[in-house]
Amino acid sequence: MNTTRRKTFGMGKMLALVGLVIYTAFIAFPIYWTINSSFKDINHVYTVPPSFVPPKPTLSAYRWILGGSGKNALAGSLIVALVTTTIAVILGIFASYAFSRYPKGKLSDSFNFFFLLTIRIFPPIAFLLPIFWLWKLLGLIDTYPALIMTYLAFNIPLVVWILRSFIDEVPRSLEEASYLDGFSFLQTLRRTTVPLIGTGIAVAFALCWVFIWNEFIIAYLLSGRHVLLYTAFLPSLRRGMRVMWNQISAISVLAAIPCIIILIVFRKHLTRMYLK
Amino acid sequence: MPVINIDGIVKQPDGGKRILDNVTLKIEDRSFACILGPPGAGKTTLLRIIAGLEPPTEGTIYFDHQDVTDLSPQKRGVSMVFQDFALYPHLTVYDNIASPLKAVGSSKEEMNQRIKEVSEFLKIADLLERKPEQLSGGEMQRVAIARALAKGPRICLFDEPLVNLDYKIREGMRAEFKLMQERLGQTIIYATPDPVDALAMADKVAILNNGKVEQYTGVDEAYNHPATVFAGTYLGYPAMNVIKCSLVEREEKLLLDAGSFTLDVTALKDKLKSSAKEIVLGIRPEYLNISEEPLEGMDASFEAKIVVGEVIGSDTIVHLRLGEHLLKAFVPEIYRARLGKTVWISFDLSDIHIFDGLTSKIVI
Repeated sequence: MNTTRRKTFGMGKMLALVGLVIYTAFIAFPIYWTINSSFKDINHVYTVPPSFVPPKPTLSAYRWILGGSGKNALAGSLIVALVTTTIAVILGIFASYAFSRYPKGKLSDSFNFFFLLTIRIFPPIAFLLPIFWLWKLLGLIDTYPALIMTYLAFNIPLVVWILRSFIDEVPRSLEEASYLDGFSFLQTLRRTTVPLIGTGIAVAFALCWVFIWNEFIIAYLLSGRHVLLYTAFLPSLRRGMRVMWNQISAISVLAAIPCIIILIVFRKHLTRMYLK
Repeated sequence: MPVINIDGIVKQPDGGKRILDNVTLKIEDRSFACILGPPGAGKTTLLRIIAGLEPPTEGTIYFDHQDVTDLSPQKRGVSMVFQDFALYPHLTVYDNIASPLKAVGSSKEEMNQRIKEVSEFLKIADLLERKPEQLSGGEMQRVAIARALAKGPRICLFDEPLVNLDYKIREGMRAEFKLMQERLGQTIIYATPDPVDALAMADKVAILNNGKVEQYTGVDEAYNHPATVFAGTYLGYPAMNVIKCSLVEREEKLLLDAGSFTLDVTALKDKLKSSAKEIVLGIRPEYLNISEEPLEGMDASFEAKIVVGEVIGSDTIVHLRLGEHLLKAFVPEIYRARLGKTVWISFDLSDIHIFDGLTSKIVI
């Protein structure tokens, strides 16, 4: 009897495994295909039937991307995402602290908290015209400050929204104990509050990064010759009727690297958030 | 010399009711002061104001004649043990205790030395590498105390530290608190809802009710001479019996009329001369003697029925019914009586307390 039970369990497990394999293939195939295409010559991209392994593996697409404006676009994206995410998280910690600890304060009541979130509820494009004219008026189009400040406006609310619930869970008595130990407010924030909301900070950082890294409309409108983001650079890879799929694949592979690094670095925190 | 002088402290949140109402206390150097009161009496708020975690609405706090009312908690040099212990969960026990030493920039050697001292004193030397989540309630308590003692403060505040511990640990801790204070010589202010804490440890007790100090005096004085009905009933376990009576004069005698019985208080006539007519009679359970026959030589004896006997360890609290009044008597032995049995309760007039029925203040 025992053996039959083990057998049926084995069958269930087998089915689950088969399901997982199909699912993994479904998820992984596009990634594989992107990597595959990125090592092909443009003429091999369009062959019928398609080749599952590059017939003549070449780094020409990567060379082209890293040799020209593609390099600047990736660097621009990296700078904007890194600076914006860092500032958003730091300012977000202070803002969410105020919302959490002084919920009835003059500036931090629930209406204002809701108001803060409305910026995230509307799609960015709803705000884009006034934002564009504002930066145009100030002569800041095609500069880092314009891009960074615009992204900050959209991401600080997200950070505050995530971190507030984390700070809510840190008992106030811990901060008070720290004051009585002799630490100032900022020391207490750094030594006690921030370490205890590490998961929230990791999640906020990752989500901000993903938003900025993948954003297109703002990047397209506010970047230019001096400051270029890779998402705004992608349309230039379509030449007439020909789409340079191998180059698009190469830049996709390169663009995926920072996201993968963030996932690996924060994976412990991210799964903890998921389990929460 | 009082080390802490709390002068006319009022705490009233905007538009709210007063949490503290004109609290004035002088706490002597190196003494153990208990702030005793039911939940919501304002004990924690008072401690937080002394620590500087909250500003008072009115009033002043002096440490050694220096006005510290507006001084930040960092600069007051006061330690506090919180009700939830407030141990930093991400730090080891060692780092928790080291925290106040790091704040003042102690050297590594000083820190090691000091932590060794306090952790050995509190018997937690073998826990230093652990995280708070790996500790039992009693151990967390000790770590919290160690952290409070680490910087060698003159004033140590305890906010209901025994409430979250189980009964057995609580008993042991009382003795240790007392020993600790005697050995280290701090001034301790200890907030608790438990009268036994106050009776076991305190030099002086401030009985707090609805934000007002009902009585502030030596703990024995407060027990033997309660200032108000509340002070009398709250300090003491089991609580003092209180009976509402009216004072009447009948045939040259002065009587307390409680409805179902009258008590002859002619002997106390001089002291009751100017008393109001509505009064409250108070008598502590240990002064009620239970016997089969009326006791000789006692000032008063009444017949009562046993409602229930509550054996606590080697003592018994006997609940009795006298007319419409329910009384408790404390018998210092295991006393198992048949329910509903008729017995005599006797007491001396010197053991009763008489309070004004309107103001609740003591008359005798």
